[in-house]
Amino acid sequence: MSELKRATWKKWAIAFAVPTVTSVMFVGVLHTSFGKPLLMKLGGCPISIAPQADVEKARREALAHDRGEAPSPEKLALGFMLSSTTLHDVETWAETNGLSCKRKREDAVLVCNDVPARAFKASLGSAAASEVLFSFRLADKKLLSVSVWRYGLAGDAASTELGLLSRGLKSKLGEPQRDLGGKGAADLTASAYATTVIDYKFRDYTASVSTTNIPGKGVELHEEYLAID
Amino acid sequence: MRLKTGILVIALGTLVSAGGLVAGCSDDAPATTDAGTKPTSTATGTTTTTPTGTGTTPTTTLYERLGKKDGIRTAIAAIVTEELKDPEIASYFVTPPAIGTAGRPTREQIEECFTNLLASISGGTEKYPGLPADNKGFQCRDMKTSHAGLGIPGSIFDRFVGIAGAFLKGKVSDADLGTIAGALNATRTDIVDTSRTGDGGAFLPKDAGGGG
Repeated sequence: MSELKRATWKKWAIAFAVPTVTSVMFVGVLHTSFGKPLLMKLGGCPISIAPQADVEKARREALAHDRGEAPSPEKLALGFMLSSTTLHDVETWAETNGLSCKRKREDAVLVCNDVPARAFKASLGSAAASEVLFSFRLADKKLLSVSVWRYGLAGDAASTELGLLSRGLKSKLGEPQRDLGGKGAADLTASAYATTVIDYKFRDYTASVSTTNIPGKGVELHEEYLAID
Repeated sequence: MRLKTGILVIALGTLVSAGGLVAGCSDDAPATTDAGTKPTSTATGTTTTTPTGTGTTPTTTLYERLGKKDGIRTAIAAIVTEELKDPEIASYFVTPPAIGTAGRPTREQIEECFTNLLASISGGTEKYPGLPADNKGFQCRDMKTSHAGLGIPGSIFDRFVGIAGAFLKGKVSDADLGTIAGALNATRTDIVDTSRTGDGGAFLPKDAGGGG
């Protein structure tokens, strides 16, 4: 390569590298806690995305607002250890069970679809989950919550599952703080949006099971286990 | 000539890198929305069951049974708190840095607009969409406009309604709960993006494959 060509290439490389590095640094600083005021003055980040740290903060505040007083006798979470199991552990579990999962929200959320009950180490129920949502603490990717959604259940299937979950929770956690709504198939489908709720609230943990009869779609059953920091 | 070329190259490089960085801000869930559309039907029935689901108590409107504007505002704040526990739904209620710009309402603004929505469909005089009754310097857009482009799938919408229903269970009568959930569900077609994600399926981000 001639000296002239080499010099031209060098100029082009520098011309791209300098503004790139400068822009990266500038935008990076704008997104730090001390840079945010300036970012706000400039009109904010043009991308309408909530930073996961802010989402986590809002979630934590919501949970703190709703906690019980007594410590939990046990933190059930389908065999996972809240505040201890990591994102890596859950992905390994998913891989072992041949599940289809996807990371989201800055790797603070992992969603797995069509999970059979046998895949869980300690499921209280027996029906397959349409969707299982794991959330992790942003800083260390330790498990914060496990939510299980079963969509489109017939009244009988929903009633059976609800009975299993209700009995399982009672045997481990005792009487719930809220236990509302009949659990028979006819109760669960009695009307549009017929709802049942079972809630446990402890100082460091909550567990809940609820059903909603969605018109034209069947019963939606939600099972959730949350750690409270 | 050389100087001109150099300036052009620097400008191009800056633009390209800035564009890349802006795209790099992106994640898989949008941030916020504000409240919804004027419902096509109202739910102001004056006969209902008592909160325990037994007997009837005629002559009061749903608006009155919910505690009018103040009662509705308190209930909405509590429902939003419940919704915030869901890590995906929570992302719609958290305002990113560009607070106050169009399409990025704060949680408080969302609650105000939800309050007006529920008040207007339950028999109150509050208007929705439009300015909050006590004019707080912002306007509630209709459901379709405020949710445009958010790519909300049917499953997330159903979750939202289910969480609201579970919170209200026992606090209002079953009949009122059904009425409120039905009114919420009437906004479904304005909120759910069936083309992008499928209806009732798992939540998929707007940018497929865009984790983290």
